[in-house]
Amino acid sequence: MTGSGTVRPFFRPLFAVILIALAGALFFRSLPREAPIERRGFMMGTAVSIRALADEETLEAAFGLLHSLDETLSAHLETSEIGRVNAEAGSPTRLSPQTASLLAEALAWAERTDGAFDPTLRPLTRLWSGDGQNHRPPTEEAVARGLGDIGWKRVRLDGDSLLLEAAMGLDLGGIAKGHAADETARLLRERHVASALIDLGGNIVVIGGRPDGGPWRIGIQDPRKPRGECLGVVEVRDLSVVSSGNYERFFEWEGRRYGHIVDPATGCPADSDLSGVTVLSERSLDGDALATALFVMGREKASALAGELEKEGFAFILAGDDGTLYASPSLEGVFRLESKEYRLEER
Amino acid sequence: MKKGDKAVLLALAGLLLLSALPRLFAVKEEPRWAVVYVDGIERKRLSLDGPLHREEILAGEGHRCVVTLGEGRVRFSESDCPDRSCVAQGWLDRPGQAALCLPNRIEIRLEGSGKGGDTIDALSF
Repeated sequence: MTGSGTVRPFFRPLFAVILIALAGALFFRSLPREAPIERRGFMMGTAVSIRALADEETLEAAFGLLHSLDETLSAHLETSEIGRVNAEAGSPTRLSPQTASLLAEALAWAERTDGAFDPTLRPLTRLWSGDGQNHRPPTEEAVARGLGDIGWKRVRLDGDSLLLEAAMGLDLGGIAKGHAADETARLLRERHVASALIDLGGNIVVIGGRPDGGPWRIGIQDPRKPRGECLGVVEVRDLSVVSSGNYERFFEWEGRRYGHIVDPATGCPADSDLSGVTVLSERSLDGDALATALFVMGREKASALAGELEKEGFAFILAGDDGTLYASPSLEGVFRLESKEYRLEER
Repeated sequence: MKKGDKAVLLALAGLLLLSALPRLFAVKEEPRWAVVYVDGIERKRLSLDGPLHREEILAGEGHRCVVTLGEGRVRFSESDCPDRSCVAQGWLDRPGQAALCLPNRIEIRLEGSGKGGDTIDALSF
């Protein structure tokens, strides 16, 4: 503008173009986006859902995959591959390449966590899961017998060939949901889905960001509060978020609460000084195994292992039963503590 | 400033305002609906407005739960499932929250975009 307040003829069209571009950008940002579709169901012993910018056929295929993985990996189904393997314990058997690969991954995490994660817990998880009607703790003798029938080091896996000792049994429940979430994400990506949220009973994998372009906002369950109360929120893209704790599934007997996570060292529900563990990782399989293992290990050992794994790209939120909370340094700007009942502390 | 300049500026200012209208008047939704899914299929859509009241949800094989809802919140209050952990889950009052009765395959979810930025897309538990 000149001192007299007129817009120079040269700048006038430029000024107009800039303003029109700005207005256009604002207008298109304000328009409704392509709407995601959602499908829900019950599989893998939990409620599952997929929300995605995708067509019905793609979600149908994703649910078909989940159903197939459930029928293969469930330890509760006699007709599943794991059910068949457990029934044949004591004799050499052959696994499908996919299940063999998953078992190898599970055994690797068992070694890395010094047995806090153990895929051979079936004799104990069967004991503690009750008969579905009268849920009560098993006898000490039964637990002692169960402890004698577990041990990841006793699994003989050579390629696809497996030998389990008689009375042993596999339970991949601590890793199956994570694996299923990874496989589902792979299928969706292959079909060029750019935005999706896969929720397998709280095991979350997100693809890209939300349909509105922002990051996905995942609430982290407050382990000391009823379901739905968050201790904080993480904002993520292309990541898995898995949490574990004894708050989610438990039963009560004679005034005492028994959680569903069994400690392979004691054969009983883990008595941890952590109330909840959340793992953020690229692969949900890893997050699933680690969330369980770190909870079982307790704060001291979990913190040490978390420190090692942070160098490999993992991030953690560890909630202590005393109200302390640790969040990995890489979560700065990603995790926001919302509950006033926790205090963040350094490791 | 000449008359023509003023007209151009006014027109552009009007255009800017117009473009922002959808955002300015976007509805800030509060959690007003509890959606009940049985076996993953939407069975009921219950308003959370009004005073607290109870609603029976029937599942397969004669199983049932009762939810209490109203005043902007909802919870499982009765269930014939073995462990009744659904009843222990307590109230839901934020969009995105969900409660589950696993044995009866009943799920309740709160729908709505929520006020401000407190909406979550999912809960890791």
